Amino acid sequence: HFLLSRDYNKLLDSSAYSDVIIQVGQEPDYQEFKVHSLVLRARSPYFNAALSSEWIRKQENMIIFNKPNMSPEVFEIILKYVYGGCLRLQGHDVPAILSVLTAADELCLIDIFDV
Amino acid sequence: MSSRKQPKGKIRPPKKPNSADAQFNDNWDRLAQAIREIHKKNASILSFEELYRNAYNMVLHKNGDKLYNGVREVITQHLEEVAVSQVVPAFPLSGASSSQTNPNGAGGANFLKVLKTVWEDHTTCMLMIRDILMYMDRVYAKTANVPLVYDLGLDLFRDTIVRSQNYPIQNHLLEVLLQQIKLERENEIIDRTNVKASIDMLLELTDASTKDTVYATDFENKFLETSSEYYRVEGQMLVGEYDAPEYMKKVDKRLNEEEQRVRHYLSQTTEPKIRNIVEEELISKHLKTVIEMENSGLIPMLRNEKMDDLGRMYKLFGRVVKGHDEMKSAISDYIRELGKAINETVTSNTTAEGGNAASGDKQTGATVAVRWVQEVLDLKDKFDKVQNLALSNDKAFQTSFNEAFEYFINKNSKSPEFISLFIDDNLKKGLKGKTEEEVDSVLDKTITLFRFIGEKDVFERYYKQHLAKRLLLGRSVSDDAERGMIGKLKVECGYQFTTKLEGMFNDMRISSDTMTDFKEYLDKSVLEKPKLDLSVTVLTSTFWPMNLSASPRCNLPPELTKACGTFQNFYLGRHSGRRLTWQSNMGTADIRGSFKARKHELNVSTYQMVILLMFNDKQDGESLSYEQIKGESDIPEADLKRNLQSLACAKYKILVKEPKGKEINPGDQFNFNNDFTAPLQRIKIQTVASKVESEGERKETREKVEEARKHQTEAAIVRIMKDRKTMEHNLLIAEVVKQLQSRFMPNPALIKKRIEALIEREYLERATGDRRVYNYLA
Repeated sequence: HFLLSRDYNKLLDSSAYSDVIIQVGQEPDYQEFKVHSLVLRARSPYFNAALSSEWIRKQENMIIFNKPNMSPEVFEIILKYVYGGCLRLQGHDVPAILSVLTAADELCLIDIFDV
Repeated sequence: MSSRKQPKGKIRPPKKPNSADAQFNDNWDRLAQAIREIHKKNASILSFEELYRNAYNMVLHKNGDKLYNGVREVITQHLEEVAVSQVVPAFPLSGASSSQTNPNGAGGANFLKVLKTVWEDHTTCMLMIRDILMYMDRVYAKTANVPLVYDLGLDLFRDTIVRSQNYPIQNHLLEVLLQQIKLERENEIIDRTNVKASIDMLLELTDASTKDTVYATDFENKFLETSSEYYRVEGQMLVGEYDAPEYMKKVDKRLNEEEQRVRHYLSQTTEPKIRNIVEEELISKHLKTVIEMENSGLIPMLRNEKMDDLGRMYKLFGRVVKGHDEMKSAISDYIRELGKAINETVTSNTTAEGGNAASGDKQTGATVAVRWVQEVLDLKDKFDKVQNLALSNDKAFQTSFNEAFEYFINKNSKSPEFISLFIDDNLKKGLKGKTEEEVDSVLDKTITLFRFIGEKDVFERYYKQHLAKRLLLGRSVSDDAERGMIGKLKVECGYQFTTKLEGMFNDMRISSDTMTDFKEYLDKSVLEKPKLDLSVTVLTSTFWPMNLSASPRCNLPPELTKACGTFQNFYLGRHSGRRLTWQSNMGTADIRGSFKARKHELNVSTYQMVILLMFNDKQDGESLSYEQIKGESDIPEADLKRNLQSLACAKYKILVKEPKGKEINPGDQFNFNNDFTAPLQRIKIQTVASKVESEGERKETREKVEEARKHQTEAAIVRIMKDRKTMEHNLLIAEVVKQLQSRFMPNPALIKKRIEALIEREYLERATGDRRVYNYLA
């Protein structure tokens, strides 16, 4: 379980084979994440709908997805949870942690509350 | 409003919340508009993230109910529009009810096609709406206890389209579906895809009150009702128009079609229901009619051995409750009828030939018996084949057939005798030209008939008589075959019957040894040798069926009497304490006769020999009267008449009778027939062989059987009482019947008499308190 989680996080870090660019936050607090639709769709009903053929928009063969109402810091924690299955909140302050939980609620990541 | 017109794909900052209401209105306007775009198939201009976030914010700010109701309203409006602009214009022109004016159902098919499109559009849109309202489903719908949005969409579709209050969509839909099915039943090609789409749609919709599918509540009953009516009419029509095999083929086809129909485009839950309807309307209601169809029903099928048709009927009728019962009873009745016919030919034959039988045509009786058994066996074969090829060896049918055979076989009171005669015939001359296997199989079949006989003890008695004759007259062709048959009987009747038969075989073997010894004894003896070859068979009286306790009257010639005396001395010298009685009625003799043309060797019965030897002392042309022969020979009258008949009225006329005629009467005169000629040197004068008994003999046999039954009944009573010590009358009767019924069916009156006899002889007593109870007295 641990190894699987580690390898998925590696995949997220390397962004190899990624097919989605998620544009998170607003300038100046803005960041792009290169991710894998397969992983996201498998792990989250929200992304499963968002990345389905009915809704996606593509640029240069990459799916572009906007998420303006979240900070990159929060979104990265979410992504790591989505990929690795563990929620790592050490080193984050309380407002950030609250934002993570709010974001998880918005994205229907209900399992996160069990972690 | 202006923001909607801006090009999408650009990130816009969320509006600052002026007030909660304004925020709500703005969010909602965008969502409502987006849903409309989805309905217009314009989803590509929409942003999932934005719309989702709008709905999310509305739910987050406690506006879930407003959102939910708003969505309901937008979808309803849309569906109302769809109804008016798409569904209603597609109504079949002539009205769905009058399929005559629209024979191909093209209007109906088109209507279904439109509905299919409308339904597909609706579900596609609802999936997208569900995507963007995922948060509402998860957070609001759960807590407010309202259907998820997709299900809401289904309910709205049900109420706005399928069960529209404003337009007769439901009527049209149901009638078109039923019409399409009707067309297909009438061999039209319909577009099953469209029908299936509508059916699937109805299956996906749920009725709010029953929680069942709309298919079940709105469609299925109507479908079943019309099907019932359709097949009711068709059943009546088919029965009038087709013969039984064709009718069954049609029904088979219908059943198949309906099964296929369900598989292709209806719900599996309908399968047993529609099957029941077809079975009820086409099978149950016409069972008897089809079975009894003249020239083609069940009996003609049996008569003509139409195994395929019979098999089809078996399978088809097995589907309904009474089907096999009706078939069974019809076939059983038929077997009884055929059996009755077989019995009747026998009785008509025996009565017609009654006169002949008395006049010495002894073979006829046996022929009748053999023919009867052969016909019964053929009938059995025929129904075994039916059972095997058409009825899947159904045990219930077998039982019912067996009862029918049992019934008519026991209707013929002579069946035990006939079956024994048939075996006799096969063991006597049947072996010639037949392999052992063939004979064995015939005998095996005969055993199956034997099982049907109620009075097995009567059969046993006849079998013993016939076996005795075969052995004594040297007619039995194969010892192995005889023993094989006894083996089969042992399995059926038990050893107490067969020990006696085996005793008869022993007597024959020992007698042959005895004769060898007797010859040696004569060779060594100083006594004068008899002037004739004497061959003696010594029978143990208890093994043999005849009454051997006394010698029948007959004056034997002195030479023979002397020879008998020599043997008697020899035999009793070896076995002291035994008693020999001479059975002159059963012997045979070889004598030489000199006729004008040539000499002949005559094989005759002992009685015939006695009669013929009387003519040795007479001059040519000198005759003897019946009374003279009777007086001198002392042969019992019936035997004498029969033997005189054999000599004077049968094939070989060794004697000439005056007056001529088939009957022997007092006052008849007999002459030696010096002019007798025959092609063969050795002549066998037909002796009394196996034959159907005369009435007198039958009565005698009957009496013997009754006597034996008395003993068996008493033995059974004593056996039971010895075991139980005390028993109530009815229970005792029941137990006795149970023990004896494998051999014969004892009647209670007989048992009661035997109980009384046993009380008299102090084997039993009545209990002191209760006269219905018996005690066993040790």
